[in-house]
Amino acid sequence: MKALAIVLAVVLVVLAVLSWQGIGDFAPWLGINGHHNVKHPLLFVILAALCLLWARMQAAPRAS
Amino acid sequence: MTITQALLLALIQGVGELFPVSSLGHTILVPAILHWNRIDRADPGFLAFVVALHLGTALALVVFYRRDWIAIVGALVRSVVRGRIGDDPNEKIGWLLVVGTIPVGILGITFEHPVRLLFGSVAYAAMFLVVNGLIMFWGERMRRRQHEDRHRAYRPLEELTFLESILIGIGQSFALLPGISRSGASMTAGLLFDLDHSAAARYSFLLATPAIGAAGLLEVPKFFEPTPHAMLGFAVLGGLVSGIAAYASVAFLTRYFRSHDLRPFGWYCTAAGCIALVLSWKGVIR
Repeated sequence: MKALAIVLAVVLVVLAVLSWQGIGDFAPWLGINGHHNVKHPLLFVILAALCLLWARMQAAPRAS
Repeated sequence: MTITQALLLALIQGVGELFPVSSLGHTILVPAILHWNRIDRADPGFLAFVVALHLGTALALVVFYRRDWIAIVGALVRSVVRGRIGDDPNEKIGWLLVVGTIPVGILGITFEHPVRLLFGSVAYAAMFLVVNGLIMFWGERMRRRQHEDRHRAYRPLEELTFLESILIGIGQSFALLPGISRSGASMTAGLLFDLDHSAAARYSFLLATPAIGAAGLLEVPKFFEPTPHAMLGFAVLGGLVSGIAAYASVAFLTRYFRSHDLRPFGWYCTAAGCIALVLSWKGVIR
């Protein structure tokens, strides 16, 4: 699960960069276009940070 | 926009955001009923005003639940440092709030604009207000069936699972539809997962705080667009009124839900929605 969380975080950071550059215009009917909307890259960054927190929460051994 | 309109819209936001009656639905229906046709909702000044109303409401919630938030944020930090969720109920509640906020973050940012474009009319707002009332009746009926007929016990908030919190968050996201109440939807979902009214209301208000706050903060740049001074004055006044109204509302509702249920709001939403639907159908409001 820790590896999955880290992979997801990396994917989300890539999506944030693409969306910021306007390359991630994959759903124009939803207004997902980095040049016009700063909210989408921000959302991807926040989700990436949450994935890293999820990975961190998998790090410690469980209390028996 | 006149000062009376600004004050009334601020009151609607402050009260309607927390009472389970849909502030968004009322900000569409009330101006239509009062024939306020001259409000330009795309005007930068009006958008700055709306941002101030949201920030006022979120600030009121933070102030009201300040002790909870201090305990929850502290517990969250401790759990991250430790790398696991400990025995402190606030750690679990903190993570439930984080997980429960994800759906409204994703769905809100992705679908808010198209949903407003598609369903921003008086007829849709009235129809969804009726649906909102029916959802609350259904939630109460299910709760009574589970707890009064089958004698199932209520659970404390920290016993919610993360999946249940995500589902409550998805419930909250239905408030993107004008007429569906954020607190009504999330409280109903909480009742279905065996929370009592008091715990469901507390969780709903805690869960609403980051969503309402983010909705305001993300639009803060609108304050820096060229705006007439009068509108900035209205924004400050509106934020203040909306904050006071929200604080009074949450104080009232936390007491109310200790001994009452959602049905009176269900009756109100169903009746008001039906009246608005008839008025819209007859062409009296549009």
